[in-house]
Amino acid sequence: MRWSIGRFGLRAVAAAIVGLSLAGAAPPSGPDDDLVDESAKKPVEEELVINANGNINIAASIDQLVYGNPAQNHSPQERLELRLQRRIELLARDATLSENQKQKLLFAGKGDIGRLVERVELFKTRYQTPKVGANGLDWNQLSKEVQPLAASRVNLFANESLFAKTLARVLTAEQLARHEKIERERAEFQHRTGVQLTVLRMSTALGLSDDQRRRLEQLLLKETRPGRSPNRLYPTACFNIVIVQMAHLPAERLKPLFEPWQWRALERKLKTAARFEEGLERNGVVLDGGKGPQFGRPAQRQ
Amino acid sequence: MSRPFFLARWGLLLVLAATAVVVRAEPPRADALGPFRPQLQVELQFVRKICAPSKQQMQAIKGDLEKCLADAAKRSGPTSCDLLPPKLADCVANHLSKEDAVRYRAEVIKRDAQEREACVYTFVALVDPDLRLSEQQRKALVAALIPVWKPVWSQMIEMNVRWATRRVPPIPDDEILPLLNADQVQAWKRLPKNLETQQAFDAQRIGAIGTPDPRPDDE
Repeated sequence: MRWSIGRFGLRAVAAAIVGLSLAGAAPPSGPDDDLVDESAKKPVEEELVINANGNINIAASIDQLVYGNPAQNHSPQERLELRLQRRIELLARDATLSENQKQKLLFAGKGDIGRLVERVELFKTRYQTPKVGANGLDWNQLSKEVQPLAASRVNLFANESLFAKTLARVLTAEQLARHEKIERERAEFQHRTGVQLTVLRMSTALGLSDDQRRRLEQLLLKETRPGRSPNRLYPTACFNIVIVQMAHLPAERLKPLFEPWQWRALERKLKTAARFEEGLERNGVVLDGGKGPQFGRPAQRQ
Repeated sequence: MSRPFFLARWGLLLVLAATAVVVRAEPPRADALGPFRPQLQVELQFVRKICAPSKQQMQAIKGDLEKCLADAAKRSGPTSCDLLPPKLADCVANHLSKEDAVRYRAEVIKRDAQEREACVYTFVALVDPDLRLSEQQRKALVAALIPVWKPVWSQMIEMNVRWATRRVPPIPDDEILPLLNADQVQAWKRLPKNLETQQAFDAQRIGAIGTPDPRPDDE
């Protein structure tokens, strides 16, 4: 009996990947999901898009790495435009924008989207040569090379974008002040949520008493800062923002709150928590004010 | 290629894919407690901190907790978010002195209250970007929801945090709509709700960070 191991092996791997993806992937995210729990993030092998014939679809896989899970009936560009419209609607509600202001923001945002989509399409052409097959491709290398594009998608309407520059130009001082107040209050509420979640998780991990929980909550509210993101901030990120800052607090502030056996366990937990930092930075999260140490490290120039 | 070989190959592929699904969905159970093993550590550490029981008491508590959690794993005992946690508290309190048991139960009530408050805050933070709540509305929602909050809603919220998902608990309109304006009411109605209100307690809700370290620490 002769089995064609090459083709069979490839199909077997594909079948296993599809099976694993179906069973273990987090439920599909919404169209404007920009921050996900890094601990729930799938390895690059599970981001691969497999065609019906069992081959890997490189272009679709790149789209998935840059834009995230595909939405039904919408191209990546359409999804980004929906996200832009949603952002403008929300801004209009907070800052009472005129129709003219909304149109200017829409125009600027579409410019940012167009530039990103163009860069992604150009990137895909590098992987369309006949030499590049599924077997000869280093997916980890590809995922590294794709990271700047994914970061651009996350920060699409932030910092140096046309949208951000236009926003700064078209809003009146009064609108800007009202918008900033609303955002600050929201960030403070999210921070309190992150602190509460951190205390809750420490409580199960270490068996904290009520007194310990209260003291930890007070310490975290005082010693950590809210985070800001160019995109929607989900509770998972609120938690990560606080626990990463907690991991950078000097031991002498934290240690007195815990029993020696709790402290030893906490030290191990905080080493694990520090790995969330990279995900926050990749998602454009900065601590409130954008000045001072960012997650325990010296501040980068804004 | 003959038909039997063709069938055997594709059959094998199907088995492989199905096995991957099963393996990923249900990790192999190392012991009778199965996925509830971390909850045993959660309860043992908590009572260790609150009452510092003797070695003998700890062994008796551990035995009872293991039995209760093994029953839950087999579904021959209470498994729901409402019933399992009080049952676990009984397993612990039964082996403490009267004085310690009172102190322990008081701490359990405070622990539950903190969990409820954290989950209510998280719920409000989760829906806030969709509803665009004002500061007053956020505070009003927290105050209104804490007294009516259900244990299963906490699990839904914790699983959202664990997996970065966004299906919100199906909070009755009576509790939430009076605090919203007309636009926000429409936005609330559009939000995806988690309608699985009869859920078994899920030990994964505490996430990797919330799971106690399994390494023994007897120092």
